[in-house]
Amino acid sequence: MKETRKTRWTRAWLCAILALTLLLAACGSQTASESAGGSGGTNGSAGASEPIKIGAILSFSGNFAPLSESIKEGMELYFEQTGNKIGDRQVSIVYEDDEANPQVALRKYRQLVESEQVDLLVGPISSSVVYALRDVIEKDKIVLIDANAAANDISWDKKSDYIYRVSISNWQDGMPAAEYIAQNIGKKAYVLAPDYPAGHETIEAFEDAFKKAGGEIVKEAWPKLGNNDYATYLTDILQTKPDLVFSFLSGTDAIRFVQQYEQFGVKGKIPLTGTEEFLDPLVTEPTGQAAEGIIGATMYTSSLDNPVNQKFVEAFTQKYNKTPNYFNVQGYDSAQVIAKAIEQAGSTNADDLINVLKEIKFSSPRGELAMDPKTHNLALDMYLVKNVWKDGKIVQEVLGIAAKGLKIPETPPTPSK
Amino acid sequence: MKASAYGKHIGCIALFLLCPFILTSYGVKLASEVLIMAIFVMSLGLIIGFAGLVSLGHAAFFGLGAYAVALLGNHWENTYLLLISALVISGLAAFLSGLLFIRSSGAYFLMITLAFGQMIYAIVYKLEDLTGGADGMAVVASPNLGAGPIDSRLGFFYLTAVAFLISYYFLRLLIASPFGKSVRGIKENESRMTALGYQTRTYKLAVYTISGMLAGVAGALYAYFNQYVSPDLLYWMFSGQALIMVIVGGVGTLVGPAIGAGFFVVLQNYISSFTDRWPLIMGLIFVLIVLFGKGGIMQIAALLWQRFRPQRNSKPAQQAMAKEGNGIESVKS
Amino acid sequence: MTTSTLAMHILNGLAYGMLLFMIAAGLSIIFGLMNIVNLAHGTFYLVGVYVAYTFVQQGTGFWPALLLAIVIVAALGMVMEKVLMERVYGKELEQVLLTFGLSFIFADVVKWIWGSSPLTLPVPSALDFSLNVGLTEFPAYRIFVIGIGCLLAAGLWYMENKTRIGAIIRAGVDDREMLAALGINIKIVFTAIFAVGAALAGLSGVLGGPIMGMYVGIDSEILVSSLVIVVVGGLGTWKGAFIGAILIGLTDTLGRVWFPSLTMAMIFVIMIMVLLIRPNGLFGRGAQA
Repeated sequence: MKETRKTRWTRAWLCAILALTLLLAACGSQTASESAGGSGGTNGSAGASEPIKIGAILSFSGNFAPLSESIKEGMELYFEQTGNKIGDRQVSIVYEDDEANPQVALRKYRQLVESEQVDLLVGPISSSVVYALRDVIEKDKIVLIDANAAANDISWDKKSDYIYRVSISNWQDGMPAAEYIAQNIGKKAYVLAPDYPAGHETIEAFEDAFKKAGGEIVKEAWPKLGNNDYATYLTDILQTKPDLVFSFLSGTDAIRFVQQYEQFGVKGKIPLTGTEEFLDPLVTEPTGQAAEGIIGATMYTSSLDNPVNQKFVEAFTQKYNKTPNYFNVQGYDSAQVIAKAIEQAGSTNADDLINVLKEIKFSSPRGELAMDPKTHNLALDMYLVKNVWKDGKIVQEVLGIAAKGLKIPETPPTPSK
Repeated sequence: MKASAYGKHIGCIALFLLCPFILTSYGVKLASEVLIMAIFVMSLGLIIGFAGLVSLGHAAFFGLGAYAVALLGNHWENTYLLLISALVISGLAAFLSGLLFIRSSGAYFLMITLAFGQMIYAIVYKLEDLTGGADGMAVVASPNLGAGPIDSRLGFFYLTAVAFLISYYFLRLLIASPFGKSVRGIKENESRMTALGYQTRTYKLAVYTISGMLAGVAGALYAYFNQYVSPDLLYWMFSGQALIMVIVGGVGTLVGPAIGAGFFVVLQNYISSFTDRWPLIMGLIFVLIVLFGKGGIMQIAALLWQRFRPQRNSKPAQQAMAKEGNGIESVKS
Repeated sequence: MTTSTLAMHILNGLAYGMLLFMIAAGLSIIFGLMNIVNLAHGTFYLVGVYVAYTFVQQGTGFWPALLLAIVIVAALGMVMEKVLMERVYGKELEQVLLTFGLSFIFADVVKWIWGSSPLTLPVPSALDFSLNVGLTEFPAYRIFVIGIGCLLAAGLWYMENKTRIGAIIRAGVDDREMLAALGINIKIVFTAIFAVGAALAGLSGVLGGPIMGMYVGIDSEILVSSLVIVVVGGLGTWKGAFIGAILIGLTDTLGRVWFPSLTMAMIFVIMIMVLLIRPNGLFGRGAQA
């Protein structure tokens, strides 16, 4: 008898915990956040008062979660500033988690486009997802603002009239610092990047430019994506004795690499250079002083000196109480581009939108930017930046401009041998 | 089987085929996905529930089937040919790996299948020039059974529905056959069957191969379904999900895993739209199923059925349940 | 390759192997003794490192944080065993579902509390220096981790072979019914072993934090590696877990140097090779097939 009472108790407990958690989870969720506001809705006036529905496909679970949350923060900041409106129409955003898996993303895509009937899409983080969505988007003729996925081919062979990238391509991420590095740091580079397409594309762009500037690649290392320990590679770097290391890594990989670079005493001996991932608070805050001295090119850092950025940083810091990273800017600009395109086109009709998007210009915290109609990719100003240790934290010091109005080539460049 | 039993089956099939008319277009698409998953999960349920082989690498066969359609589809158009290639390739992979692995059992089998799956995953991931690596690749082939391309949702739903029904009845016959009975006998007591002169490993290998083939067909259909394949289809997490679908549905039954697949896909889809905290909620559901639903959804359904149906019929129902299988508890090694 | 480079690679492999050993040891004994496939074992690693992080943030310093984290994780393990695991002994598939569910829950709770951005646990200041080993410096902290791993292995070996508790465990792995027949309270033994296993995983998490970083998702990565070790070493033996961990740590590290294109599958290749030769792992008990 005692046993059953105990069991009953446990069950009651568990039920209570479950109920509580469900409740909390429901409260904590922010899906379908700002829904249709008051704007009446006498359906006569050609949809002008209907809310605009944006579907966001991002990767909220898994290793890309911080990136997705940053993009979401940026978008929400922008729409907060516009009073949640584009023109006189209310805006609502439906967020979906694609788990960085194309198969899940396709399911979510259908849900957004068919069930939720969103007017246009924004996202995704992962290149595999943007490739998977590309064909269905062509078929359904719905606009996608690419807020992160950097695959080069989406500007080349897989270019679509309906996809416009407001972030950066792997090519633009890899090449701009190469010339500066070859001329000022050293000619013999050891390159290291994860063994997957984005890694290959970024490093290829760097190597090409680096060789053109008179540099030489002494060794390539390709750790797996999500590599837990870089000790082997660091030992190899010490043995190879290059003039410098150039690396493309992101998230936890970048953090571990930078920390271990210091722990193994490579920092201070061999200069570390890299892509913009290494010059962003998302990486430099967890690593702390270990990231000091890393040099590279980036499209954004919070210390950029332009009025739009100053206002952005101020508003962002006020709302979220932290320094914005470049994913925040990608989110902010995605929202901005959507708003601007809809206002200029005067509708959410995809064909009207793409006419505007092809040549859209906007004031980003990154500077004045314009879409390149030939690649559906932004022409970006790339800044040379160095991590410096100041007042107990890493900040980015702008050294100069690496490239102005840098566009991805119209066709895949043939690598120089 | 009595005439009334036939009637029931036909009734169920008819209802099933009428589904699209009450669903939205999105619902029809989701239903097709559920059916493909159901075929895959049934194939895993077959080896777990009837042969006692718990695998954590079954996605490898699903993925091989999918990649067969994606890669060979660049050269061939014929759907029959592609489906058969998928079946043969995954069957062959299952046969060869089974040949090596079948002698392991329990946790060792679980882990060695995991390792095998991860190796196939790594190969597909590394062959970037061929498969697109982590980025995956678009599928060019479109399904065509000879009467023109099946490009409507409804058409594809019926294609998957027919595939599901064929798989289901095939497995039913297989389990009821003398071969199936021997396999179940081996699961219950392997040493006794060996003593009776059965080549138990051969039986296990045969059923493992059949299961791999079926998983391959499901994968092939999935490649057609999404027109895109990526290494996620071979990743161990996906194998793990399939394993969960089997357990959630109820081990040792045929319908159970299929229902588990539907339950999992639909639930996860809706919960993850509703809240970012979906892993937490899914986790709680699993824990609750273990604590209160001894034997998975099928068992829960049976219990509810017993409670609410007229008293006089309750006994046969229980027996029917017992015949189909008796839930999780029956699987011990 | 020079000897000093090779020595570096071996030290790296050992440090990594020792971290895995600490998790695998508990996993293996729980596996062998209670026949539980604990897919939530990575959770203890995850919770351990995040709890320690919070204490370090509160200013307790590394070592008290380490101890507190271990105690908390052990308590968590104990509660988990008493409330949940106890109900699924002997039901393998229910265990899979239950522990999978738990790992989902805990990973999400950790993400909820601490956020999804990766964090780092700083190296304790007393060990934050590098030793000169020929070619270059080697972090003292990693040497420390290797030392702790070896000490732990020696302690566990002593316990397994020279103490009554060890005898009980060995007897239990071979034949569970026998324990009950001997009048030993199995329930208490099981709870205690589960808690110890959890504590070891927690220890591994805290010690691993400064090396491997901390983020949600590391739990499942580390779980797969330690499952591989357990199976390679053989279920239910600490010796197996130790040798298996060294083998996997070294092959994973050296594999990156010698077979760079195999890095993704290296440990799985090793596992398949071992199991094809010895289907019950290197030191596994039970009939050879």
